[in-house]
Amino acid sequence: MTLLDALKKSNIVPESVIATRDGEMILEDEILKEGDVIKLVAVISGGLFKHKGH
Amino acid sequence: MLLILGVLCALRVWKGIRMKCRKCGAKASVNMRQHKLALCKDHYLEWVPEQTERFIKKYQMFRREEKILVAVSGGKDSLSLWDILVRLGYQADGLYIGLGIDGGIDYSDESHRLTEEFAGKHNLKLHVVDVEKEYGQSIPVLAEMTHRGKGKPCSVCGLTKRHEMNRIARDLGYDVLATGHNLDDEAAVLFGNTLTWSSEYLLRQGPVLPSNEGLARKVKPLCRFYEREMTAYAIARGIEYIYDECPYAEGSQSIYYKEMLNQLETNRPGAKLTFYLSFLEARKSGELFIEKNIEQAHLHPCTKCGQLTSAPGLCSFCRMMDKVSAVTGS
Repeated sequence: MTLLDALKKSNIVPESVIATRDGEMILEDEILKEGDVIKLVAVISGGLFKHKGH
Repeated sequence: MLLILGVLCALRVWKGIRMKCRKCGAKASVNMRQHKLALCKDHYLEWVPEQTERFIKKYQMFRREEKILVAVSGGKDSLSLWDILVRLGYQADGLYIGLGIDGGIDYSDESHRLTEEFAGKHNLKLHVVDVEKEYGQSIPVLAEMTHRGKGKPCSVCGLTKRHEMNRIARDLGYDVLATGHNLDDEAAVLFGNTLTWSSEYLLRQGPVLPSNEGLARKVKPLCRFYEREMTAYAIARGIEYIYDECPYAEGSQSIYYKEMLNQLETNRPGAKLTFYLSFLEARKSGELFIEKNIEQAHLHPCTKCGQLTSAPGLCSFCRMMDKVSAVTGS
């Protein structure tokens, strides 16, 4: 199973996360092995500074 | 044709061929589908500052001899921006604004600690303003006292930060105020303003807001990077930033818009970039609205602090602080 398959299976939008394994970033085509620990870092921040004007 | 492509992709996975860095052929760490560009970690860390420099020049943000004040929050974007500007050799100092937000996670204390740590590690100058020390109340209390923002302090927070950034930049003689807004931030604001056709706001949105009557120019050097790219930069560079989102940001409109735009991006790579760049083009060409609208949006200096405001008299910030003084009797 690739990372992309795993994200889809978990209903996670791939654009919204960065995946790392053993501290290294991995891409969506990375094949995951049994026992791999994947850390997902959420990329979205907001709420402050996000107003209409400047 | 589709069948052939499918078989090729399957073969690629089967043979264990991963995406490769376009520059050196090593295993790629970052893939930017909107640019059809994959890079390894080392080349990505070169590419981001190169592109930032390109945007600084393209939008004429600032020159080498100008003094830049970077608004840093302890988050990935602002710390990365500071890192990049210093690496590019610009004179960039930091400004951290303590908001007094706890939210059960020591949010402000932790973001302050990480910002100080970054500044110390790189031997950079950091100015710190504590809202509570400066104005007697933290942001959540100011919001409660003034009843602004429908039960959430985000409106008071944004207003106060803009006011303080302008004040410090003006008082300390900085030419430029740089913020870490990324493309997702800009696209979300654009989306919101487009939904309501807020023409005045749309005409003012862009990578540069020129200086005006003593206020520093405002620039957004990261405005063409996806939020995902900035996260990748912070991780690859080993920047320690605050992972937790502001406790008050949960359920915010901007996050909702970002999630929607990311859904769109997943199915149509490049949609967010096109949305923003097409807007900038349309605005520049004058096709978006009649240009005279800009002149009609005349700004006046506040009678108390001197910063520009849309209505004559006191600005929103000074009106808010007057309310606070009335409540506290100070």
